Amino acid sequence: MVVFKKNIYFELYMQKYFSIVKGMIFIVIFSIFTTITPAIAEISVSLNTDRTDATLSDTVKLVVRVQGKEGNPPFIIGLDHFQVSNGGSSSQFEMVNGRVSSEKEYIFYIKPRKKGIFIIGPAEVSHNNKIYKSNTIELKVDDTSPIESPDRDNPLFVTAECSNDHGYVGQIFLYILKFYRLKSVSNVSVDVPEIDGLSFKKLGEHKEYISTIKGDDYSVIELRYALIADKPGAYKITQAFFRMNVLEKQSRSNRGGFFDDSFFNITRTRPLSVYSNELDLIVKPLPKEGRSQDFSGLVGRFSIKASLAPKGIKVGESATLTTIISGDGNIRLIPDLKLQELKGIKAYDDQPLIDIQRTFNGVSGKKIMKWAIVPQKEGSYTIPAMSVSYFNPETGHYVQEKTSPLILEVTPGSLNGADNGSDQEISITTYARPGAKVYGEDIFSIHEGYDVLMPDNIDRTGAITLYIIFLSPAFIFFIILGIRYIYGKNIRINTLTAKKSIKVFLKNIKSLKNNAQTHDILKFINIYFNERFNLKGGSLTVSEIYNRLLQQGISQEAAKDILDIMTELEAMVYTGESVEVDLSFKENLITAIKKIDRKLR
Amino acid sequence: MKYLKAMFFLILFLIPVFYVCPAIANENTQKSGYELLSLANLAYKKGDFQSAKQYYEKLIQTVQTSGDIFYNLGNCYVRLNRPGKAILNYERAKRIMRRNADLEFNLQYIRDKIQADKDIKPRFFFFQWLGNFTRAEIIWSFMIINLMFWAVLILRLWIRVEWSFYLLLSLCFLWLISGACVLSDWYWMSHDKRAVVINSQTLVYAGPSENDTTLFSLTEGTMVKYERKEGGWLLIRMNEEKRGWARIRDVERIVLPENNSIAAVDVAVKYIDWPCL
Repeated sequence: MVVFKKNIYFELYMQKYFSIVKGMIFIVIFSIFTTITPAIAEISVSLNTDRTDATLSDTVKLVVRVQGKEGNPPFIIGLDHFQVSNGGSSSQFEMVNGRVSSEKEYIFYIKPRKKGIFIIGPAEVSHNNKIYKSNTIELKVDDTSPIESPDRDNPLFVTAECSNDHGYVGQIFLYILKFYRLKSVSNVSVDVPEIDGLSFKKLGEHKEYISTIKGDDYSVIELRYALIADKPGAYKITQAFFRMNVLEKQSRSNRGGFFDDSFFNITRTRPLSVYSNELDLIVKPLPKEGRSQDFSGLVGRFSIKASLAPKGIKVGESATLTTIISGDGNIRLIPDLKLQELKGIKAYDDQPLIDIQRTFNGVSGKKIMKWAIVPQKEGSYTIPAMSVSYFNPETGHYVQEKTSPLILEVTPGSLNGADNGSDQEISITTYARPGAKVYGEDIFSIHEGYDVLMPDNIDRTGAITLYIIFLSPAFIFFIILGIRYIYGKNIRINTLTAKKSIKVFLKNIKSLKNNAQTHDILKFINIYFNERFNLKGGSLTVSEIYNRLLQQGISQEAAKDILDIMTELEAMVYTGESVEVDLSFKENLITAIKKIDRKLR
Repeated sequence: MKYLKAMFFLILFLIPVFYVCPAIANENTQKSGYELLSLANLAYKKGDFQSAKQYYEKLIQTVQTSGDIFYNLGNCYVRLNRPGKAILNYERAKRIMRRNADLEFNLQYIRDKIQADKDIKPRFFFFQWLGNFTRAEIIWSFMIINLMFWAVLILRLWIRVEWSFYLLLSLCFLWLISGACVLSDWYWMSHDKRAVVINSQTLVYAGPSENDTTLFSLTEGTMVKYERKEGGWLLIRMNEEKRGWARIRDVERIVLPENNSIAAVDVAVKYIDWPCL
């Protein structure tokens, strides 16, 4: 055994060691703080609203998010025509992979006082005499109140609106569902009408806000769908259903008092369906007048842009022509434009990219088409204009949008044959696709090293070891089980004997005749206590029984009764005073023993 | 107490018997194994693939088999343009090294070269999945689950709470699954009936005799299933339609015979002339 002796050198070494550790901890903490400080130095302010259009009865949620250092509370410009209430603020400070970010959100609820289009913002935050500004947001406020509904006066009702009651085939309408509620609901689901010729597509996530109607603040859930008609006709948009469970509080008692409190109320749910109003929609076919040949069925508002990069190249190089058609409407019908064949230019078209965005305000997107332009010789080339035709449903006319012609200047290349004036083919610079270039094929080489001789891990362990590992837990379990069984058996036998002892005693006492002998009774009492205390042999003295009873928690009074009875019996036996016992003595004895036994159980 | 003492000393005595003695024996075997391995690797590097092949075969015969040796032997056969033997040895290596990228590549490479099928027919998905784990992984997983199962069972003798019951139930389920995996793996390892055609243009007959009708021929490297042996003939099956008798010298089972004698006769003849051994 190794014994460590207290030694002065060891203590000095430990002191030195701890001072090094302390120093290291200080350096680590210092470096953390020095790296954190520059990370949180920048401040950025952003302004957001939960919606960009509202009615005079609606409340709009306005959030100012300040990232970086904490400055003064923000000042928001452009809220003169709104009633503003503070919704509180929340802070967030997090450190991920050593990068620290601090963020504070200020929430305001604004309610418009008049209709119009308002520019909200920028929000200004000052810090160290410097002002940081946010973006601005345009909010459109209408004076329209919710459409009259049969359930208008109910605490739960739904309204349906369409952005227009008439339009054209291919036009995208906005179908707006608003669910107003004063009660708490759960499991809300929506059934949008299914109408032949009309298709509904959900736009963005639903929005929730507060709207005040007749003095009541309704919580509103607003859902928007893009509605497109495939064919002309007069459509009736049937009711949309909101299915939900309404939570209804039921008071326990109407009598008032302590339990007349919301805390003790029971909430029950009741399934309920609320339906919206019906709408009429007239869809007209697209007019034939003014339709150009290149019209592809595009309906909405679109614009086209073309760009060439670079505008000047050398022979042998290539330029990229990019055309972007963007707008609002049925984006998928934007046609693939064709580039006219140009003398002296080879054009290679790329796969067009289409990007569709379904936001809460509608469907917008763009299509990007690219060509690689490779001039064959030097000179000035004109890339002709490209056009796209669409139908504008607001004006009811076809529009053709055009790009401007683009000029590409091509100068002689350094390696081409411009000097000799030959018309030779220009080589196009091509780049190899990323990946491996294959030079040959072969199998992987042999495995060397001495570990190749090592057999499988299991073979090395050996079957005997595996059997031992496998069987030993079961073996241990059965040993423990066996030990428990053996000990448990003894305990069970002793308990059973102790419990039966009173029955044996009573049986013995009852078997005695009236002129019972005192020494028999004394013998039975001894047998009883031997069995009760699980004693193997011999007999206890009166005082030993008395002490044991007290140890077992028997009251002194009850123990004293037994002591008295036994002392009396012993006196009778050993003095020869009386050898017969009367009936009342027997009964007293039985009562005392029963009392003791009940308490010993 | 006396018995306990006796048992303790008995165990102390048995530990060296079980562990130290085989370890000494194994060390001696490996000593010669290392020499053989060096010679084999050297021969392979020099391009003497025939000698390298013979050294590797000797290694397999004398030293405990490892997947890498079969792999190296497979490489030798590739170099010697014996695709059948190469596939056979790669498949033997794969039974031990189940997720080795080099082995997978080489096996696929040689199969692509001779346009051979991967397997006779795909195995049941459970066995395919199980084939991704090595024997050691399967057995040790079972051992750990077994240990945990009995530990929780012992724990429950004192702590009979609800969570311990559900834990025991889950472990019981895992125990059964892992036990089934161990048994399945053992069964597959010991009852693997796959064989590889090792000679080109192997003829398959309707009976175990050259006088029987010739049914079809098999190209070298084709995987077949062995059914039974009769004299010098094997009854093999390629699929439901293609079944017949082939000469024992033309087809070799992937499972090594009991005495581990890989081409025993061939190797023995060659060894007589080797001065280094």
